[in-house]
Amino acid sequence: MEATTQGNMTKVVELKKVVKEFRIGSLGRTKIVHAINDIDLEIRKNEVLGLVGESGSGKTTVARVIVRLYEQTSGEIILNGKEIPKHMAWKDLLSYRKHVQMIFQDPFSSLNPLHSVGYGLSRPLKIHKIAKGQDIKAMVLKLLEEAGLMPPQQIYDKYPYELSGGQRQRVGIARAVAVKPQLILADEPTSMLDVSIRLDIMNQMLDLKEKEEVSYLFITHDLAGAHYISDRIAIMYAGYIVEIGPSDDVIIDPKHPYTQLLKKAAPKPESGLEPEKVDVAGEVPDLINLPKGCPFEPRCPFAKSECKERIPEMVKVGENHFARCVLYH
Amino acid sequence: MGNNTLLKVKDFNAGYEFKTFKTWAVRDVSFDLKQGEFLGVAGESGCGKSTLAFGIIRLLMPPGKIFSGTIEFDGKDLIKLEEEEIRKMRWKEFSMVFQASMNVLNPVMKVRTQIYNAIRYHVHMSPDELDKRAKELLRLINVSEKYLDAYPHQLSGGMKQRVVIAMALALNPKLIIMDEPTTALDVVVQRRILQEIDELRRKFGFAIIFITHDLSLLVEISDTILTMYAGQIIEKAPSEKLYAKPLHPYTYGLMHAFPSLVGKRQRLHGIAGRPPDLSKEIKGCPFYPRCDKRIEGVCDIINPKLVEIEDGHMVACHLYDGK
Amino acid sequence: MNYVKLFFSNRKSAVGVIIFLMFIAMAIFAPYIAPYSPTYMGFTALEGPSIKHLLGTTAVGQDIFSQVIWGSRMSLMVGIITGAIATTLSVIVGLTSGYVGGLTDDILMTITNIFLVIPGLPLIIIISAFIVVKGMWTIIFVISITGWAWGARTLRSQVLTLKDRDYVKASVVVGEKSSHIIFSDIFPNMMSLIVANFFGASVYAVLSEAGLEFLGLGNSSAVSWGTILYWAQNNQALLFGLWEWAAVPGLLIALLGMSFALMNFAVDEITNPRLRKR
Repeated sequence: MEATTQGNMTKVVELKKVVKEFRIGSLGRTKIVHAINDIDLEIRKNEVLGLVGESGSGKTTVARVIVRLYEQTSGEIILNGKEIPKHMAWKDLLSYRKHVQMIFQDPFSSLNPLHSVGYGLSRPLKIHKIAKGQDIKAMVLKLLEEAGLMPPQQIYDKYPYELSGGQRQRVGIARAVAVKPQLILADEPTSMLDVSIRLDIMNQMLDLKEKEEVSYLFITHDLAGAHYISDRIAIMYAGYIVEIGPSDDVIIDPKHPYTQLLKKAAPKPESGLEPEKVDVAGEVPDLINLPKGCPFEPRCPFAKSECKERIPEMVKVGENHFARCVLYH
Repeated sequence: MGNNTLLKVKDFNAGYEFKTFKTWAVRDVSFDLKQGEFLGVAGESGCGKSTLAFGIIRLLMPPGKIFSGTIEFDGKDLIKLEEEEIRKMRWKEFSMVFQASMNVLNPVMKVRTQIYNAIRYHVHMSPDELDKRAKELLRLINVSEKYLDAYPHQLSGGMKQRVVIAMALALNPKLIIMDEPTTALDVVVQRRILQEIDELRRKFGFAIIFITHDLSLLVEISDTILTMYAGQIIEKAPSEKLYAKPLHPYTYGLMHAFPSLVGKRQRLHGIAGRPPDLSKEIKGCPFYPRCDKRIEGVCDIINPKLVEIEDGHMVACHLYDGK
Repeated sequence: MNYVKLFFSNRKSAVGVIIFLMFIAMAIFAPYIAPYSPTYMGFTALEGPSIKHLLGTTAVGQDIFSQVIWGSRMSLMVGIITGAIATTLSVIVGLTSGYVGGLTDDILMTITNIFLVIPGLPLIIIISAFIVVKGMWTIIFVISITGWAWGARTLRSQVLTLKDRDYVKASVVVGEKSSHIIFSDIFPNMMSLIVANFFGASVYAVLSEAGLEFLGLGNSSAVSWGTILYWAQNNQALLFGLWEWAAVPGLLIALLGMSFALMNFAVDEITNPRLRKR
């Protein structure tokens, strides 16, 4: 599979300077968690954008803001060229949900244990009036078949506890695809599955992309997995996007020091069996007390004095490739 | 790394016994472990690797049960020993780091107390000795002494896991069994912990049995790897040999199920199908339904035995019959 | 789903159901089972058990056996109705508080905590002492308002956990309305706890009703197991050696409570399909 071209440059979803803060604690002692800051992102038609980061990087928050499980604190979200207001009327929100759907990480808790597979999949069809009456079951069976759940008639009546992790995840994919959305946010969809199944699930998502022309925001902490499935990759650290560019470019020649660290830290059996010692000291910063400069500065081997002063801007480091680092200013 | 055999597992069978059925989670497992050796055990959920780990050090709680076999540790058969004798050996001779142990740390006890308890339960030490040892252990895992008096929730996930590893080291055991110690952690933290484990092993000479589903990780860190499927060992080899030439179709499939960070992207495939139900008897090779190289009439009838094909490289597969 | 079979699959709950059904039968068929009217005062007073009066007679010449049979109606009705009302209150408060959160949650929880802190029985006694009209519904009212707070707390906790489950978030993303999420995703997954709550509240109600009547704060002219105990106590039944007068109603109250507790054992299996497999 050669690297796919960017396809259409049409943007499906665009984020402009999106910020999300959470308040925790009780009255009088509230603290603010700066989950994501200054997020500028676009997801184009027919592309897979990988969003890579470790825990606390904010990648899940980005997804939840896009899918409207949370509202952003500030910044704009634009769907198909039109800005989405923060408080939407129910009708508009429902219409938005027809365009943007989500696959969840944990196959063991993303399906209601008391609903049969058939019932669960019929809901999106009913809510968005995609089918009525008898047609619903027929459509559900078709969705099951396309998701690789055979035989569909048998799976239709089953309950989640009767299915394996991989099968449940396929149901989750079917549920997201049911409304034929333009964008699917996949929140670590394979990290809780056995290794031998992960590829098949990712391949299925890729096949769907070709067939239905749907875009993905693929969230993961696994750099190699992101490389496999994505056209472009964005790297997040402490709530900021620190690098973004074509998948091969970001992986083969990472520009941001954090991306370089991620690449060095990942298991690489093929690059010789004597692993180089990686300097992995330091911890991820506290999202409540973010430093005013670059959040990676304390761990960065190339840190300069100016890195403590300001957050660097995103600058171009290659064709369609950007990094947030003073090294390239 | 000494050449003496530390652990000799022979024809080990274990599983879980319920009122109406039995599960054979570990089937006829035999392998040797040398002193100071790093043995990686690779396999996916349900392959029996955790049952094997718990079984070896007699930590299987009902309904878990050891059905048969011998576990020779330093000359003694662990299965034949009384519970009291095993208890004396635990932590001093061998210890264990459990899966997601960071969640096993008692949230209402200070780190210091938990380290003390790990030691005190097995040997007697004065408060001064305990303090000294605890500080030593934290130094070994590069955690600042000030965290001795902290509570688990004040430490990050990576730090908690390292504390658990330090607790496993507390009495200088000859063998540490680690069950998916880094699975729940970020990749950078994982790398750091693995580097530390390696350093400690070189320093103290203990053997490690490292259990994980991440085969690509094992290739980098282990001396020897054995792959498990449906409760059986299906391949065992030094890691370079296994990586260079995986003989068993399952190992081959597993090895190629990891997308790489090097080179251009190409389409890969997983292994279709599911592992067999371990509560039933399996006729023939357990991998038969999913194997793309299966030989009808042979593989579905006879369960292949683990045999040495090349120097140090063992595999249980009919493709290599008569080699 | 064959609920009947499920209730009988577990030995404990099977026993509970049988006892409960016997009481229901006793209440429904009271007119046919009881030999006499419970309030007729024409018999010889304070007689011991005999063929004509299986449990003897009261101080004013009423047949105790008939009273016990008829009394099952009041005890069962008060028990079940109060249990249902208290549980409903708990569910409404717990669900709203847990799902809506924020200020609503704070207000509702403060109210709940107030009701929790005030000791139940003394509160019941005080309220009863001030109410003039002492009918069955008054008793139901009084016991209900002191019996819902504990359930509201536990149910709220479960709602908080369930709200965080991925399948609830998935429903939101798919586009379900809040009302549908509450009734289709959250509520069914709480059934086990709600039914357990109901059984617990019913036991509490049966015992509280008996207690109220026994203390003379209920409607002493009604016929219920509690009032029988009241009159037995008042007339020093034990002193007269008429121990059946007090013991039998007491035993039946205990049995009814026990039947609820036993039926509770089957609840988990009914509401959680996964547990049925074993």
